Amino acid sequence: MRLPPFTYNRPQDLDEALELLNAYGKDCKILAGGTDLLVRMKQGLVAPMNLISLKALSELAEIRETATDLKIGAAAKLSDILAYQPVQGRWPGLFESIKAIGAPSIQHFSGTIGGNLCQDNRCQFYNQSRSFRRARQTCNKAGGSTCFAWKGGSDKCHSVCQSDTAPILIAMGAKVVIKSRQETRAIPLEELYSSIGEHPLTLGDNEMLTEILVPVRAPGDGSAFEKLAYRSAIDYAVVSAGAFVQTDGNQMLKASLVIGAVARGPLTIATIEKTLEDRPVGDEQAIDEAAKEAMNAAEAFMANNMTQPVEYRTQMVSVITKRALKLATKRALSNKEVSEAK
Amino acid sequence: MSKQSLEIIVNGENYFLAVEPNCTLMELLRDDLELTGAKEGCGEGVCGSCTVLMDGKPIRSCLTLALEASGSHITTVEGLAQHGDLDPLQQAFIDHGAVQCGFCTSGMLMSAKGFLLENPHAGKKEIRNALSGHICRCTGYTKIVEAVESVVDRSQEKR
Repeated sequence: MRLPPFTYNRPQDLDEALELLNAYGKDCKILAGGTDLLVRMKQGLVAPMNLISLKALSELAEIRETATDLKIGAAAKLSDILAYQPVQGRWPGLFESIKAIGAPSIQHFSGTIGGNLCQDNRCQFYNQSRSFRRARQTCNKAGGSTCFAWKGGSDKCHSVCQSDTAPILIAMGAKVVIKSRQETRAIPLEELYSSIGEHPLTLGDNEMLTEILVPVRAPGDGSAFEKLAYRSAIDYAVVSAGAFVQTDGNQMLKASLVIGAVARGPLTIATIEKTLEDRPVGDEQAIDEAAKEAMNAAEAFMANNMTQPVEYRTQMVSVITKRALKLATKRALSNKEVSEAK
Repeated sequence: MSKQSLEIIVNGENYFLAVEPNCTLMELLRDDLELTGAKEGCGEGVCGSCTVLMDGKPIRSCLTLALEASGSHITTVEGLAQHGDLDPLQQAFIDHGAVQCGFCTSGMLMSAKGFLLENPHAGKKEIRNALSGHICRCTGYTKIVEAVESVVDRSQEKR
C-alpha cells in the first residue's frame, strides 16, 4: 500500500516545530512513531499535506522524576518508559498499561506515549480499506451523515477511544502540557479528550502535546490497569480499566476509576468515589456496587464499533472493573508495588 | 513533492540516496536496494513480516518512512549471514524445520535476532512474548520458538 504524497519536515528543536505547526495549521500532522497515523494515511482516511517529524527532538523524549511529578516527554518511546526503573516500581498501573499496547518487540521501539494518548478514535466501520468503505454510505467520521455503529443510526460519530495509557493516567490524576508558538498550558489529561467522535481531541491546529506529568506516589495508594483483549499482542481492548485507590490500611480514603475502550473518550466513573469512600478495605459488596455503577455508566455509550458483541462488552466492564479495583487495593495495602511480570 | 536526500547504512554498506517523502523503508529496501527479504504482508504493522533491525531494534519497515531511518544502521535478513556462513539462528530454523511457506520467516528471524542481542539468556516465555507480534499463517509457531530456544546461551544456567 502506497502512502499519499506529503512534504516531510524534521525540525531540530521544539521552537522550530511549533513555528512549522503554526504556519501549516490544519494542513499538517505530527509524526511520532507513526504506528497509528501512517496506517490511517495508507487507508486513505487522512491525507495531510505536511508531516512534522519529532525524530530529532530529543528534548521531547526525556523521562525524569521531580519532587512532585514523574515527567514524561510526549515523544518518549514506550520501550524507554518500560525500561525506566522507577515506573515499574512505583507506577505499576502505568507500567501494565504500556505493556498492554501492541506487541512488545515491535511497536514499543517506535510507539510513543504522546502518540498513544493522541491516537484517533476507532470504529469497525471506519478503520477499513477504501474498498470496504466504498460498499456503504460515508459515515459521520468520514464526512458523511450516518453512523453504522449506533443502533438506528445517529447524527453523531460513535467511534471509541482505544488508548491504553489514558484510563490509568487519568485515574492517577495526570496532567499534560500543551504548547503552541504563542502559549504553554497545563491541563488535566481528561480535558485533552472532547468526547466528540469526529474530533476526539481538544488540541488546536497549532498546538502540540509535549509532556505528561504523573503525580508522585503518596503512602497508602495503589494503581492497577486491566485490559481484556482476544489476543495478548497487537489487539485493541474489548474493555480496559484504570483504577487508583488510597487507603489508611483499614478504610478506603479515595478511589478513582476510568474505563477505556467503551466510549468516545476515556470514561471516568465519577460516582464510585462516593460509593467506595469510607468503606472498609476488602468489602466485596462495595466493589460489587462500584462495578455495577461502572457497567451502567458504560452501557449508555456502548456502540457496535468493535467486532465484539455489545452485550458481552457491557458485561465485561463489571468484571474488569472488579479486577482493577481489587489489584489496586492490594497494592495500596501491601506496598509491594512491583507488578508480577505477566 | 520533491525528493529528499537520505544517508543510510544497510547491512554495513553506506548509501547516499534521494527518496520521495512518502517512500517507506520497506519500499526503499525492496524496490531501490533490491533487498527483497523483508516482505509486505498486511502493510499495516499487524503481521510482522516486514520486520528489520534499526540500530539493533526490531521495527516494522512498512510503517517507517525511509526518511525517518536517516542516519540509522539497518539490518535485513540478507545481512545476517557473514561471509557466506549462515547465522546460528538461521541454521537453527533449518535444523528445527521452523520454515514452512517462508513468508513470515525473515520477520521472525529479525525479531528473534534483535531480542537475543539484548537477552542472550532468555527463557521460553520471554521468547514467545518477543515473537508475539508476528503472525505465521502456516501456524508453525512451536518449531519457530524451539529454533530460537536452541540458540539461547545456556552457559550461565550451568554455572
